[in-house]
Amino acid sequence: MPADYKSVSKAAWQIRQDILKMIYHAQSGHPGGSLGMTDVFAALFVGKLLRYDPKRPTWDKRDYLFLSNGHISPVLYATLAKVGYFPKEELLTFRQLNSRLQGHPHFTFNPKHRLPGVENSSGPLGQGLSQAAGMAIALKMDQKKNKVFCLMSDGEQQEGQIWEAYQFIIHHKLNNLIGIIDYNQIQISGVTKDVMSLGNLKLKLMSFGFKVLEMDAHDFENIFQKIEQAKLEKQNTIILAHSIPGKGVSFMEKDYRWHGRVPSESEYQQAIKELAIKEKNLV
Amino acid sequence: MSEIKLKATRDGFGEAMLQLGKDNPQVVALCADLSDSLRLSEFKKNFPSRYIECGVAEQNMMSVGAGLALSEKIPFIASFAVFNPGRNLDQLRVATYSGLNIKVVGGYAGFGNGGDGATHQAFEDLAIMSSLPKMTVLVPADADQALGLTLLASQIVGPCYLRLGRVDLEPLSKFGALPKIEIGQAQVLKKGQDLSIFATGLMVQEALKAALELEKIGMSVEVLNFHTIKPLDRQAIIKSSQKTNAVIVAAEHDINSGLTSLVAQSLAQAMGQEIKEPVALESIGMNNTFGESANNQDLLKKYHFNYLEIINKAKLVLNKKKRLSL
Repeated sequence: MPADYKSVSKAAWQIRQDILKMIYHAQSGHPGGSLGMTDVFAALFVGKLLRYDPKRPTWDKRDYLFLSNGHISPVLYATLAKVGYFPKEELLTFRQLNSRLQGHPHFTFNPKHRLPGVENSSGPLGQGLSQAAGMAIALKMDQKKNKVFCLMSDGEQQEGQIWEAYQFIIHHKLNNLIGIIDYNQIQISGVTKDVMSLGNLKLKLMSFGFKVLEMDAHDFENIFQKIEQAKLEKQNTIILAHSIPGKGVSFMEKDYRWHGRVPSESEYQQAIKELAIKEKNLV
Repeated sequence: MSEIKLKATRDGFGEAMLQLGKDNPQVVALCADLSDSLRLSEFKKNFPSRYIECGVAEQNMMSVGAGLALSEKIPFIASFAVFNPGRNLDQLRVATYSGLNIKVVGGYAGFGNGGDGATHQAFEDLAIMSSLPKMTVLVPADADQALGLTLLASQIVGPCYLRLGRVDLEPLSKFGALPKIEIGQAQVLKKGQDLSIFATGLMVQEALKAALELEKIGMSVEVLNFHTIKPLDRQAIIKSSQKTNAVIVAAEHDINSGLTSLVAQSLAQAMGQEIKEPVALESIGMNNTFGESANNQDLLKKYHFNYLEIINKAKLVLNKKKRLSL
C-alpha cells in the first residue's frame, strides 16, 4: 500500500474502534453501515478529498458533506473528531443527555449546540439528497465553486423522495453535487433484494441522466480515483460504493442483523481486538 | 363612489414577493407547478434565477428549501396547504428541528379550492403547524395584511407558516382604521363589553359584519383578529374574555384543533389565576367532517362560515353566560 493510503487506512482502523466504543458505551446505535463506510469517510476527511478546515468549520470555501442516512452518525462523528473538529472525548457523549452527538445528526445555527462539521439534520431517510440539492442550487446561484457531497444508503433508495431529488438535480443541472450510495445490500430487516428489490440501480440512475461510477469502498486507490474523477465530471455523477457492512469485524461482516445491534461485552472485546490487530498489521 | 376591489390573501402575498424580490436578494421562491395559483408568476418573470421550479414533488421541494436555508438564503416554499405541509410534514419537521429560516406558504387553505373538493381543502394545517416547536404561524385576514405579514415573515429568523386563501375579500380597512400589524399580537379591531369574537383569516370580516348587526340590537361586541396563531397572544385572549365573559372563536379550520382549541386551552389555564369568573365559549369551524365540491360561496354558507352563524352563536353563548352568572 502506498504511504499516502497507509496513513488514511490506519486512521480508518482507529475510527472503526471509536465507532464501536461509542455504540457500546451508549448501548445503542448502528454499527453495520458505520463500519462499512469508514474507509470512504477516512478518504474524504483524513485523505482530504474534501476541502475543509476543522479550525474554520463555517469556512465559506469548504466542500459540504450531507449525510442522508443519518443512522450511520457514529462514522461521521468519529471521523470529525479524528480530524480535529472537536475533542475525541466528546465521542462518548453519543446518544447521552445534553450531548451535541445526537443519535441522528442535528444541525443548528445556534453556536451553543452546533456540532462543528455537521452540515444537516438527517434521520428520516430520503431527505439528505434534496437538502444537498438545495445547497447545490444556492451555490450555483452565487457562482461559487464549492462541491456538495451527499452520502446515502442503498435501502434509502426505496424512498420516493430520493427519486424526486434525482429528477430535480438533473433538471437543474446541479453538477456540483456528487451522490455516493453505500451499496452494502442490507437493511434493517434483511438483505435489500429480499426486503424491497432496487432492481438495476445503475441502469435506473443512468436513465435519469446520471453518470454512474462504481467504487470498491475498501480499496483506497479506487476510492481516491473514483471520487477525484467525480469531482472533475461535468455530468451529474453518482458513485455506487460497494461496501461490506460491518467491515473489519469478522462476525459482523455482511450480516444484516448488525445494521442496528449493540455487541455484548464479549463481542465488543473481540471486535476491538480484531480491529486493533488490523491497525497494527497494516502493510 | 369608487367600487372597492376584492382581493384574496394570495394576491397580497404575490405583491409582497415582488417587493421582496427587489429589496432582499436573499429571498428565493420555490413552487410545485402552481406559480399562477400562488401568485408567483410575476416574481418568476422578474427574478427568474431566484424562482426555483420544483415540479409536482412537494417532499423534495421542502428539503431543497431546507438546503437553501442552510446556505442562508430565505426560501419561500409554496404550494397548496393540503400538500404543503400536508404531504411534506416529515421534511418540514426535520427543517424545523434545525431551526432553519424557511417560509412555508400554504395556499388555498380552507374552502379556497371549492370546486376541487375535499382532497384539496385543508382544515388541519394550523393544527399541524402550531404543534411544531419554533414555528411562527401567520394567517392574514385580507390581501393588505397578507402583504404586510409576508414582509414581516421575511424579517424574522426562523421557520414560519403563512396560510393563504383564494376567496376574494373586502379590505378590512373598509370597517375602520386598523392597528399596526405585529407578529404575536392580536389586533383589537373593535372594542366591546358583552361578547368577544376571536377570529382569524376570512372569518375576521364576518366577525366585523356580525358585530355591526349585533350592535343594532343593542349588544356591545369586541372583535379580535388573530393573524398570529403561534406565538398566540394569550394576554389578549385573557384580557378580552375577562371583560366580556363570552367568547366565540371563528376560524375556517377544524375546531378540535387550531385556534379554537388553543383559545380553550388558554382560557382553561388562566381560570383561577388571571381569570376569576367563568367564560362561556362557542366556536365556528369544521367539526369532524371533510368538505366537498361546490363553489366557494355555497360551501362557506353550507358549513356556516359567515356572519349569520356568528349571530346564531352569539345567542347561544350569551345564554350560557347568563346561566354561568346566576
